[in-house]
Amino acid sequence: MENNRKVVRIALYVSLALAVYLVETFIPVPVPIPGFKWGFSNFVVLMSLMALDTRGVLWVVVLKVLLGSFLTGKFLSPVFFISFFGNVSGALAMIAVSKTSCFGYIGISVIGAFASNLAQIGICGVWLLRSAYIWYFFPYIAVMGTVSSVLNALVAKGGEQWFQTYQRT
Amino acid sequence: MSSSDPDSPVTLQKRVWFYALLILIFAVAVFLLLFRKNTPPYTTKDAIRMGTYMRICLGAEKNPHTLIDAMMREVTRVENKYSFHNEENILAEINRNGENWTYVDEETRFILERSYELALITKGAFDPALGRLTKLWGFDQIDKDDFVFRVPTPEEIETALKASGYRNLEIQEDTVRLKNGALLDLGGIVKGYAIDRCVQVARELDPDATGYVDIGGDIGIIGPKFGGADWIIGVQSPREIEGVSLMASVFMKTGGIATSGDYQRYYEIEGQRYHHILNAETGKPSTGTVSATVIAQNSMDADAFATAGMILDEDYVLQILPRLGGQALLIDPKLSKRSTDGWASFEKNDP
Amino acid sequence: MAMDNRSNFFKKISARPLMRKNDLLVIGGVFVLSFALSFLIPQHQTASIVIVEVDGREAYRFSIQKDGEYPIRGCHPVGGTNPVSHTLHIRDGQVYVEDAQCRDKLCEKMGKIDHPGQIIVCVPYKVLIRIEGYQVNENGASPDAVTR
Repeated sequence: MENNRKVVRIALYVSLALAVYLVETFIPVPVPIPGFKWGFSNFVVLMSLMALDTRGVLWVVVLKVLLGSFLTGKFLSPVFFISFFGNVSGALAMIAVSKTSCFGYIGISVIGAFASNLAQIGICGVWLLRSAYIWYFFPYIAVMGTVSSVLNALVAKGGEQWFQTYQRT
Repeated sequence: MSSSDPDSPVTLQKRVWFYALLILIFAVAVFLLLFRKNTPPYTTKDAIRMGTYMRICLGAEKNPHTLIDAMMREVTRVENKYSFHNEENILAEINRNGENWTYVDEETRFILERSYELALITKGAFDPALGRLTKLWGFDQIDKDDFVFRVPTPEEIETALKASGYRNLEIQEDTVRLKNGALLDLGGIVKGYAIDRCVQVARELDPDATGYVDIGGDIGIIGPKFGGADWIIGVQSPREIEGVSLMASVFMKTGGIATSGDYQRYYEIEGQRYHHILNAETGKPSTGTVSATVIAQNSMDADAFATAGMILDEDYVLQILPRLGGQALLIDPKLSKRSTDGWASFEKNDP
Repeated sequence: MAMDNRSNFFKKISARPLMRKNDLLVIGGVFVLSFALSFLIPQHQTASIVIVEVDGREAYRFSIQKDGEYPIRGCHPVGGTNPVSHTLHIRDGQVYVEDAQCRDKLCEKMGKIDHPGQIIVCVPYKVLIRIEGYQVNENGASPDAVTR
């Protein structure tokens, strides 16, 4: 696909993600872990999985995390590391899984969320808090992640049509 | 364009560069994670001081134990200097000298002046000169084995009241005196002062120190948790209720919080409870509010305001305290909670 | 060439449905795995410990989950001996003392504690009882300290 089109697409996805990310910081989260978010901005990663090649997807993910941390002032803070490794792990898992045709949007999304949550708790527990009792929250986080990833899948599938329209012009 | 053709050598080079860049970013992130300056872990020290339990929770880059030692020494120093039980300290000297002027140092002058101020602005609800009443009711003997408590007669209370009150305290340049046989008892403020000194000592030795100091349930914050997060402080329920031990939780990054209640020190005779917060007007334990918790900028103020919060009428407290710089939570005998307008903001956690 | 790309693109998009049968397996798997993980947490990390300090040094340690009554030897106020000064009760995750030998029995009046940060103290006998550990309650996390 054309480079220009690719760049535009990446820019579009990243800005969509950032908009949703900034809004979701105001939604209350039921677990007392600092910087934990629902993850509603990940629907763009799903969309980019379908519309871009592997490199494109990684561009979207990395840009989304970096710019998000700049905008919320949390670059290089503990929250940033949780977010960075979480998002990248999720993206890598989703890329791997999307190469097969076993799963639909929901399956890919849920797997991505699970991988992301695993990485987030791992970083939080091992490096930041140095305690094992953070794992106590993992079931709650996994459920939260499943819920938001299913919603993300719905949005991504819905947006699929919209992007088809966009492509025609 | 060439980037979509997977076999061209230009594409391969671009791919390699891209993944190399990605791996570099990843490596940098891992490196930063591993080697970033972690907030120091917290050291706690529990002890018994000022006739009650105390805890220091300190996070300091270097030598936390040295800091803690210094803080403990400071608490001991303040306790010895201003304890009502000590018969050799400056407090006892001022009390003995009565109407004769006693020389005091800057620290004592500061404490007495501030106490007088606090008494004025709380309309005498907090009063540093109720020593006669304390002795009459025997609250200074509450730890002693051989003391027998009895309810004082109205005449005894009347006599003690005549020899009580902050207005009997006169402060000059570097001397003070007490009129009408009044005695100073700084019990309502000395814990708060000790905490403030403790926090000051910690900050002087290490400006980046974080943590808190808890003496007998009055808590002063040295610095925010992990450098930027709130300390979660529960408010004890004044009565035992099944399954409920905390009435509220507040989140603080700085300042002091103190609670006065009728459940901390008391005598019980024939089912009637006589607690240690004495009303300077009636000369008897306060009635009404069973627990008052106050958040203020420092622990000394919080301590005094909490005492006043127990004594003054509820509506008045809720109205006046915010103007004095305190936010309060009051609990009545039915265990209903009422709080000042600004209290609710402390119950929210902002990460 | 451009046309091919576009039709490839569309083919790619519509080839992926919202849900396949495997997706339900995935969701199920996530739930199973996450709950299995929660049981793998070593219990002593999340359960609370009751620590009894006498004269500033740790003297006893109990798990808050083991109900029981334990004699505690404090420091006699006059000194010299270490008689049994309290009975520590642990029941239903709550800790309290009875049969206190001290005069004022303030330690008994301190009631039942169940959270880290809460304390029972007997000043005359220099006994300090506290709870260590991390608990979660309706407010989200246990308090760091309790004002009383």
